[in-house]
Amino acid sequence: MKMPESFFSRAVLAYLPFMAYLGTDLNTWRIAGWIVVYYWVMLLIFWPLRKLLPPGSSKQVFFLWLVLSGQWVWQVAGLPPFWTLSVFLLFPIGFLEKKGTGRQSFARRRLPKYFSERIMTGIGFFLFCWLLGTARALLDWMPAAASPAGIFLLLFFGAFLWKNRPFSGAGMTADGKKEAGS
Amino acid sequence: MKTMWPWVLAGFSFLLSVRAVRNLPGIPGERMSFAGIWREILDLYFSMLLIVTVHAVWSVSGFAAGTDRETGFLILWLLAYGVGRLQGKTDLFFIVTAILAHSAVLFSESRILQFSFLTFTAAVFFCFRVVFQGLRHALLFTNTPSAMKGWPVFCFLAFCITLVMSGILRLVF
Repeated sequence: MKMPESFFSRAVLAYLPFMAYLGTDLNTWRIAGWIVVYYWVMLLIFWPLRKLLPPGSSKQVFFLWLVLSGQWVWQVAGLPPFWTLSVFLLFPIGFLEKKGTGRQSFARRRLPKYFSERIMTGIGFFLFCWLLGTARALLDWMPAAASPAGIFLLLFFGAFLWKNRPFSGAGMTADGKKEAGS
Repeated sequence: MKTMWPWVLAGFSFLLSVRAVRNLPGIPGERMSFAGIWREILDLYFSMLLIVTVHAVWSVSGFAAGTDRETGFLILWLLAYGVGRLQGKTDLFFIVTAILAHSAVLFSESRILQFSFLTFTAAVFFCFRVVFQGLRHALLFTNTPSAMKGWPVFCFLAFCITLVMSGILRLVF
């Protein structure tokens, strides 16, 4: 099953490893903000860098960078490296794979759209974390809401509302394709 | 920081259920089958076990004498990358293996506890995936409204499975 390239899918997938921080006393909003900022920084670094690196090596460099940053944050702040998976899942599928010819024309015509989509993905993930955090805080009186099952129930309501949002074509992704399973 | 394992297991189980960790070109039905899930989880389990074992051997060997504990984790991550690449796995497989092996090493100093933790983790992933795929398959034969298909159904299935599993997880951790 290939998951669609939609904002919601990306936010949910990136949120799943992020759930590891929910049961702790850490400030999850701050971690979500850090993830988004780091995602943008990596995007800015690797977008031009992948053209300069030898073919096929950009993926290795990307992962080595991710590993080193996960290791560094763990050493400095003691934060377990679950966030690295969230950052990885925010990246578009095939980001580091070599595209065909005509990259220059792609860059000229579609670069602003590409980056605005990536900025929206980051903001969307942060808002998603904020909304779920707020909903969890509001349902604090319910013991089930403080468990992983409670989060999945909130995700279910979120997914249902997103899929059936008005004026958007239910069950469609941003690029007009049908959502997974529909 | 004290990691809350039920949260980790629930999140990663659902992630592995919706995003496969193995590329199977030309075998479209493999991912849905019981045997396919069994093989995927075994690959993950033995990879984690191998990485934690090599890390344990490295940390008691003479090479580790002049280095700090953190360098050991870096070696663990690189080893996970190598194991993932050798098996032709996806990038998700490598990161999940590395993070869980890292978590197992942090979980306890005792090797027996580390291996028990990894075995339990693999068992939870296997049960979750089998039930999830089974229920998904069963839903194909029902009249599920189109408004519910896709992510809403996935999240609801995850909610039901986690609700049942949370009691067991609470007993263990």
